[in-house]
Amino acid sequence: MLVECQKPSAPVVAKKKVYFRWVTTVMDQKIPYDDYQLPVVFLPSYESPPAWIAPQDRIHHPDYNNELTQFLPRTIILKKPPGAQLGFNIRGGKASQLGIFISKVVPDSDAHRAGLQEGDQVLSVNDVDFQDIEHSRAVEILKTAREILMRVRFFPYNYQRQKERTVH
Amino acid sequence: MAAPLGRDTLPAHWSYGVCSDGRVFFINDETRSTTWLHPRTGEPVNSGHMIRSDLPRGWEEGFTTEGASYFIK
Repeated sequence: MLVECQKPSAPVVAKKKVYFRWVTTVMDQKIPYDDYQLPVVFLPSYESPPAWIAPQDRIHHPDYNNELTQFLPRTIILKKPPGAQLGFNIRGGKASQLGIFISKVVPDSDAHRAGLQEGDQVLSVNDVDFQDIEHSRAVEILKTAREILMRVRFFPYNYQRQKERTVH
Repeated sequence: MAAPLGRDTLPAHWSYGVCSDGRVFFINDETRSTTWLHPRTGEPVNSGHMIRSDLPRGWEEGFTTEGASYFIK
Protein backbone atom coordinates (compact mmCIF):
# COMPACT_ATOMS: atom_id res chain seq x y z
CA MET A 1 0.00 0.00 0.00
CA LEU A 2 1.20 3.43 -0.83
CA VAL A 3 -0.35 6.51 0.65
CA GLU A 4 1.04 9.87 -0.19
CA CYS A 5 1.08 11.68 3.09
CA GLN A 6 3.34 13.05 5.71
CA LYS A 7 4.67 10.17 7.76
CA PRO A 8 4.81 11.12 11.41
CA SER A 9 7.84 9.77 13.16
CA ALA A 10 6.68 10.34 16.71
CA PRO A 11 3.79 8.44 18.21
CA VAL A 12 0.62 10.42 18.69
CA VAL A 13 0.64 12.40 21.89
CA ALA A 14 -2.84 12.90 23.21
CA LYS A 15 -2.33 16.43 24.45
CA LYS A 16 -1.26 17.81 21.08
CA LYS A 17 -3.91 19.63 19.08
CA VAL A 18 -4.79 18.20 15.71
CA TYR A 19 -4.82 20.54 12.76
CA PHE A 20 -5.75 19.96 9.16
CA ARG A 21 -3.41 19.64 6.28
CA TRP A 22 -3.77 19.15 2.58
CA VAL A 23 -0.81 17.06 1.55
CA THR A 24 0.09 15.62 -1.79
CA THR A 25 3.76 14.80 -1.57
CA VAL A 26 5.70 12.08 0.17
CA MET A 27 8.11 13.40 2.72
CA ASP A 28 10.64 11.23 4.40
CA GLN A 29 12.11 13.69 6.87
CA LYS A 30 11.51 12.83 10.46
CA ILE A 31 9.99 15.89 12.04
CA PRO A 32 8.58 15.94 15.54
CA TYR A 33 5.01 17.20 15.73
CA ASP A 34 6.00 20.40 17.47
CA ASP A 35 8.00 21.49 14.47
CA TYR A 36 5.39 20.89 11.81
CA GLN A 37 4.72 24.15 10.04
CA LEU A 38 1.44 22.97 8.69
CA PRO A 39 -1.38 21.06 10.27
CA VAL A 40 -1.50 17.29 10.38
CA VAL A 41 -4.34 14.92 9.68
CA PHE A 42 -4.64 11.29 10.54
CA LEU A 43 -5.62 9.16 7.65
CA PRO A 44 -7.97 6.23 7.74
CA SER A 45 -6.10 2.94 7.52
CA TYR A 46 -5.93 1.37 4.12
CA GLU A 47 -8.63 -1.19 3.51
CA SER A 48 -7.47 -4.21 1.59
CA PRO A 49 -9.85 -6.26 -0.52
CA PRO A 50 -11.01 -9.58 0.92
CA ALA A 51 -8.27 -12.19 1.04
CA TRP A 52 -8.13 -14.82 -1.66
CA ILE A 53 -10.07 -18.00 -0.91
CA ALA A 54 -10.55 -21.14 -2.94
CA PRO A 55 -13.44 -21.10 -5.43
CA GLN A 56 -15.37 -23.82 -3.66
CA ASP A 57 -15.46 -21.76 -0.47
CA ARG A 58 -16.75 -18.64 -2.14
CA ILE A 59 -20.42 -19.42 -2.13
CA HIS A 60 -20.39 -19.42 1.63
CA HIS A 61 -18.37 -16.27 2.14
CA PRO A 62 -20.26 -13.02 2.70
CA ASP A 63 -17.69 -11.02 0.80
CA TYR A 64 -17.74 -13.30 -2.20
CA ASN A 65 -21.25 -14.54 -2.63
CA ASN A 66 -22.97 -11.31 -3.59
CA GLU A 67 -24.53 -10.70 -6.96
CA LEU A 68 -23.37 -7.59 -8.75
CA THR A 69 -26.87 -6.90 -10.06
CA GLN A 70 -28.15 -5.62 -6.74
CA PHE A 71 -25.50 -2.89 -6.81
CA LEU A 72 -26.03 -1.69 -10.37
CA PRO A 73 -27.78 1.60 -11.12
CA ARG A 74 -31.58 1.41 -11.31
CA THR A 75 -34.27 3.82 -12.41
CA ILE A 76 -37.12 4.70 -10.10
CA ILE A 77 -40.10 6.69 -11.31
CA LEU A 78 -42.45 8.31 -8.84
CA LYS A 79 -45.43 10.56 -9.28
CA LYS A 80 -45.94 13.04 -6.50
CA PRO A 81 -49.30 14.80 -6.26
CA PRO A 82 -49.10 18.35 -4.87
CA GLY A 83 -49.00 18.37 -1.08
CA ALA A 84 -48.02 14.73 -0.87
CA GLN A 85 -44.99 13.51 1.02
CA LEU A 86 -42.06 12.01 -0.81
CA GLY A 87 -42.14 8.72 1.06
CA PHE A 88 -38.44 8.75 1.74
CA ASN A 89 -35.72 10.76 3.50
CA ILE A 90 -32.31 11.69 2.17
CA ARG A 91 -29.07 12.54 3.85
CA GLY A 92 -25.72 13.77 2.64
CA GLY A 93 -24.65 16.30 0.07
CA LYS A 94 -21.62 18.30 -0.90
CA ALA A 95 -20.37 18.64 2.65
CA SER A 96 -19.87 14.93 3.14
CA GLN A 97 -18.28 14.46 -0.29
CA LEU A 98 -19.98 11.12 -0.63
CA GLY A 99 -23.24 12.04 -2.33
CA ILE A 100 -26.91 11.88 -1.47
CA PHE A 101 -28.29 8.72 0.13
CA ILE A 102 -31.70 7.39 1.00
CA SER A 103 -31.80 7.17 4.77
CA LYS A 104 -35.35 6.01 5.22
CA VAL A 105 -38.21 4.71 3.11
CA VAL A 106 -41.77 4.86 4.42
CA PRO A 107 -43.24 1.34 4.40
CA ASP A 108 -45.95 0.76 1.79
CA SER A 109 -45.25 4.07 0.09
CA ASP A 110 -44.89 4.35 -3.68
CA ALA A 111 -41.17 4.69 -3.16
CA HIS A 112 -41.09 1.50 -1.18
CA ARG A 113 -43.05 -0.39 -3.82
CA ALA A 114 -40.77 0.96 -6.52
CA GLY A 115 -37.83 -0.71 -4.81
CA LEU A 116 -36.19 2.26 -3.14
CA GLN A 117 -34.21 1.23 -0.04
CA GLU A 118 -32.05 2.67 2.68
CA GLY A 119 -28.46 2.81 1.43
CA ASP A 120 -29.38 3.71 -2.13
CA GLN A 121 -27.24 6.50 -3.45
CA VAL A 122 -29.15 9.00 -5.58
CA LEU A 123 -27.16 9.51 -8.75
CA SER A 124 -29.55 11.88 -10.51
CA VAL A 125 -33.07 13.23 -10.37
CA ASN A 126 -34.83 14.36 -13.56
CA ASP A 127 -31.45 14.64 -15.30
CA VAL A 128 -29.91 16.75 -12.54
CA ASP A 129 -26.68 15.20 -11.31
CA PHE A 130 -26.88 14.49 -7.58
CA GLN A 131 -23.34 13.29 -7.08
CA ASP A 132 -21.93 16.66 -6.11
CA ILE A 133 -24.96 18.67 -5.09
CA GLU A 134 -25.75 20.69 -1.98
CA HIS A 135 -28.15 18.99 0.41
CA SER A 136 -30.57 21.94 0.38
CA ARG A 137 -30.65 22.04 -3.40
CA ALA A 138 -31.35 18.32 -3.55
CA VAL A 139 -34.25 18.74 -1.15
CA GLU A 140 -35.61 21.63 -3.16
CA ILE A 141 -35.57 19.66 -6.39
CA LEU A 142 -37.30 16.68 -4.83
CA LYS A 143 -39.91 18.73 -3.05
CA THR A 144 -40.92 20.81 -6.04
CA ALA A 145 -41.03 18.04 -8.62
CA ARG A 146 -44.40 16.56 -9.57
CA GLU A 147 -42.83 13.58 -11.21
CA ILE A 148 -39.48 12.16 -10.21
CA LEU A 149 -37.23 10.06 -12.41
CA MET A 150 -34.35 8.95 -10.18
CA ARG A 151 -31.26 6.99 -11.00
CA VAL A 152 -30.10 5.26 -7.86
CA ARG A 153 -27.64 2.56 -6.94
CA PHE A 154 -27.38 0.55 -3.77
CA PHE A 155 -23.99 1.24 -2.21
CA PRO A 156 -23.84 0.40 1.49
CA TYR A 157 -20.11 1.05 1.71
CA ASN A 158 -20.44 4.77 1.12
CA TYR A 159 -23.72 4.97 3.00
CA GLN A 160 -21.99 3.63 6.06
CA ARG A 161 -19.06 5.99 5.65
CA GLN A 162 -21.41 8.88 5.37
CA LYS A 163 -23.27 7.94 8.49
CA GLU A 164 -19.96 7.96 10.31
CA ARG A 165 -19.29 11.47 9.11
CA THR A 166 -22.57 13.04 10.02
CA VAL A 167 -22.33 15.27 13.03
CA HIS A 168 -25.39 15.62 15.20
CA MET B 1 -20.10 0.01 -13.84
CA ALA B 2 -21.08 -3.33 -15.34
CA ALA B 3 -19.20 -2.88 -18.61
CA PRO B 4 -15.68 -3.52 -17.36
CA LEU B 5 -16.86 -6.64 -15.54
CA GLY B 6 -18.11 -8.56 -18.54
CA ARG B 7 -16.61 -11.97 -18.91
CA ASP B 8 -14.67 -11.00 -22.01
CA THR B 9 -12.89 -8.09 -20.40
CA LEU B 10 -10.98 -10.01 -17.77
CA PRO B 11 -7.82 -12.01 -18.56
CA ALA B 12 -7.60 -15.75 -18.00
CA HIS B 13 -7.59 -16.86 -14.35
CA TRP B 14 -9.23 -13.64 -13.26
CA SER B 15 -12.72 -13.13 -11.92
CA TYR B 16 -14.36 -10.58 -9.70
CA GLY B 17 -16.09 -10.62 -6.36
CA VAL B 18 -18.54 -8.27 -4.74
CA CYS B 19 -18.35 -7.41 -1.06
CA SER B 20 -21.50 -7.25 0.98
CA ASP B 21 -21.13 -3.46 1.07
CA GLY B 22 -21.09 -3.19 -2.72
CA ARG B 23 -17.41 -2.80 -3.39
CA VAL B 24 -16.03 -4.78 -6.32
CA PHE B 25 -12.63 -6.48 -6.23
CA PHE B 26 -10.70 -8.70 -8.60
CA ILE B 27 -9.48 -12.19 -7.99
CA ASN B 28 -6.42 -13.73 -9.57
CA ASP B 29 -6.65 -17.49 -9.25
CA GLU B 30 -3.19 -17.97 -10.67
CA THR B 31 -1.36 -16.01 -7.97
CA ARG B 32 -4.10 -16.50 -5.38
CA SER B 33 -4.38 -12.81 -4.73
CA THR B 34 -7.03 -10.13 -4.75
CA THR B 35 -6.92 -6.47 -5.68
CA TRP B 36 -9.21 -3.50 -6.04
CA LEU B 37 -7.69 -2.76 -9.44
CA HIS B 38 -9.12 -4.14 -12.68
CA PRO B 39 -6.30 -6.14 -14.33
CA ARG B 40 -6.81 -4.50 -17.71
CA THR B 41 -7.67 -0.94 -16.89
CA GLY B 42 -5.59 -0.69 -13.73
CA GLU B 43 -8.41 1.19 -12.05
CA PRO B 44 -10.83 0.33 -9.29
CA VAL B 45 -14.42 -0.17 -10.35
CA ASN B 46 -16.63 0.59 -7.41
CA SER B 47 -14.47 1.49 -4.47
CA GLY B 48 -16.32 4.58 -3.31
CA HIS B 49 -13.24 6.75 -3.75
CA MET B 50 -12.71 9.20 -6.54
CA ILE B 51 -10.58 8.67 -9.59
CA ARG B 52 -9.29 12.03 -10.70
CA SER B 53 -8.19 12.44 -14.27
CA ASP B 54 -4.84 13.87 -13.23
CA LEU B 55 -3.80 10.89 -11.13
CA PRO B 56 -1.71 8.01 -12.50
CA ARG B 57 -3.49 4.71 -13.06
CA GLY B 58 -4.34 2.83 -9.94
CA TRP B 59 -4.49 5.93 -7.72
CA GLU B 60 -7.64 7.36 -6.19
CA GLU B 61 -8.45 10.30 -4.03
CA GLY B 62 -10.10 9.98 -0.68
CA PHE B 63 -11.27 12.51 1.86
CA THR B 64 -10.97 12.42 5.61
CA THR B 65 -13.85 13.41 7.81
CA GLU B 66 -12.32 16.88 8.10
CA GLY B 67 -12.25 17.26 4.35
CA ALA B 68 -8.54 16.86 3.78
CA SER B 69 -7.68 14.99 0.63
CA TYR B 70 -5.25 12.13 0.39
CA PHE B 71 -4.24 9.68 -2.27
CA ILE B 72 -4.52 5.93 -2.27
CA LYS B 73 -2.94 3.35 -4.48
